[in-house]
Amino acid sequence: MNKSLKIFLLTAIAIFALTIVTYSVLKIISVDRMLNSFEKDYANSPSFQKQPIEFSGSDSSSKEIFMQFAYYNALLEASKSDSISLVLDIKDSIASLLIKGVTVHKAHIDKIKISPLFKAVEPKILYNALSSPFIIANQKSSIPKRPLMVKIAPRDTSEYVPDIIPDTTDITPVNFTLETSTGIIIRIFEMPPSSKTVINLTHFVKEETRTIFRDLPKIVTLKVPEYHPYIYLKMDRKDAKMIYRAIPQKALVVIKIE
Amino acid sequence: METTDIHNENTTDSKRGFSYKLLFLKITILLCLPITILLASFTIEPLAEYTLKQHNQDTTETVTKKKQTKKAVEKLTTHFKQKFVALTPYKPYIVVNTTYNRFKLYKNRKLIRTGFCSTGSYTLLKSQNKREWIFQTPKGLHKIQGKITSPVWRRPDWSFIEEGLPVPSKDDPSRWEAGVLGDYAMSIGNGFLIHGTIYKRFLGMPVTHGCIRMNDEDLKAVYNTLEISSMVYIF
Repeated sequence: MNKSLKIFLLTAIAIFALTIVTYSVLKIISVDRMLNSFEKDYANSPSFQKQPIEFSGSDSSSKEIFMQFAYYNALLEASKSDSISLVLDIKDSIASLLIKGVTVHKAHIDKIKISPLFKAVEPKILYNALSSPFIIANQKSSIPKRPLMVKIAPRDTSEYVPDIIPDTTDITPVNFTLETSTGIIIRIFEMPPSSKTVINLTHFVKEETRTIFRDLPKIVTLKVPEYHPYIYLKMDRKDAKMIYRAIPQKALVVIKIE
Repeated sequence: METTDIHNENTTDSKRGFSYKLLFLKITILLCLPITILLASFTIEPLAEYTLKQHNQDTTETVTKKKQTKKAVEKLTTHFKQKFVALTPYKPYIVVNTTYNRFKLYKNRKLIRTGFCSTGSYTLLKSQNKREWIFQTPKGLHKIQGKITSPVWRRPDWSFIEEGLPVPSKDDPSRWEAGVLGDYAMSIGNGFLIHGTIYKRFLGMPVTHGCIRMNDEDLKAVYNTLEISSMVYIF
């Protein structure tokens, strides 16, 4: 092998290894930072009649009671809203839609993967965080929220064409991402995937690329990238579609983890 | 010489005296040490016991407090759960799914009927003079505001525009069309109705201008079940 080529290869490998090491170190720091900011954001306990109900669950049974309390508190909060809310019961694998406290749709969650942060965070902080609904700040999906069809009105009756039967073939993969105002990423994948081709992955490939491009300049300048706690769910495509179409842009999400 | 001897004797004596002192000191220390430890243990033990007692007292107090809080939270959770469950009405209500065009009718919190319906087509109609309409069924909570039999449809402007017809005046008789809304209609506000249809083959599809269409049997059942102010949940 040419000597210059050898040097080039070695340098490339060294840069690559260094980048990976730097990225890993910065990512670890970012998780730690997120944990700290999570603890700071949710330092306040929920209150009832202006009395804070502080977490004091030392054993598993009392911890469960406090988590149940947090869940119902969040449900009641969400029920005050006029719009449709999403309820994710990770414990019982159920996703449901709520309108003014009435469950209008229930869906079974087939697979769940949650960020280790939810397990690493103190139960007290988790209790505080889950005792009120999260607000969706961003939504991205492989399907449109409103499947609008533009129709230009005819000038006169001669141009008029009666409506044909709408195309209801359901082939587009349903995958979507919801981001809460506190940075929690909720990703819903259809199950089973409607197509095993790349099309099914397009949405998430786009999302991942966006994350990499957002992180890359930070890594180069040795700045800590952002870490987003995540909840990945897999469910029936019909349910996924219903949920995505139903929830408004700034929807409320109630999460029950334990 | 004598002087020297005396001096030597004195030195030996003083040396002897010194070693006695050292021995005495050593014995004292050896004796004192266990005594001190013994005394210390006598003092420390009750002190430790007291501290432990105090600590145990604290823990007992904390445990009692925790138990009380747990009970209070348990009670509050039950109360919140009841409050949440109470939000689902016992009165009849209907849930409409606009994504898959289905409805579910409930009475006494029990599902009594389910079926197909048609909801908004999500068509964005643009007129020649740049007026726009989106034909979508409004999502969220609505209430039955009125119930009528043998409804007559008053055609809105968009109905003429989408067919390329000239828009008549507000009171023009050509606006009134009988027999297209089925036998019953229920208003949910802002001009949206739950009504029948002559386009039954489109049921289960999103084809309407925002109203909810049903077949004759379902419409009759819904009309007879729902009352004025019954809840209509659309998602």
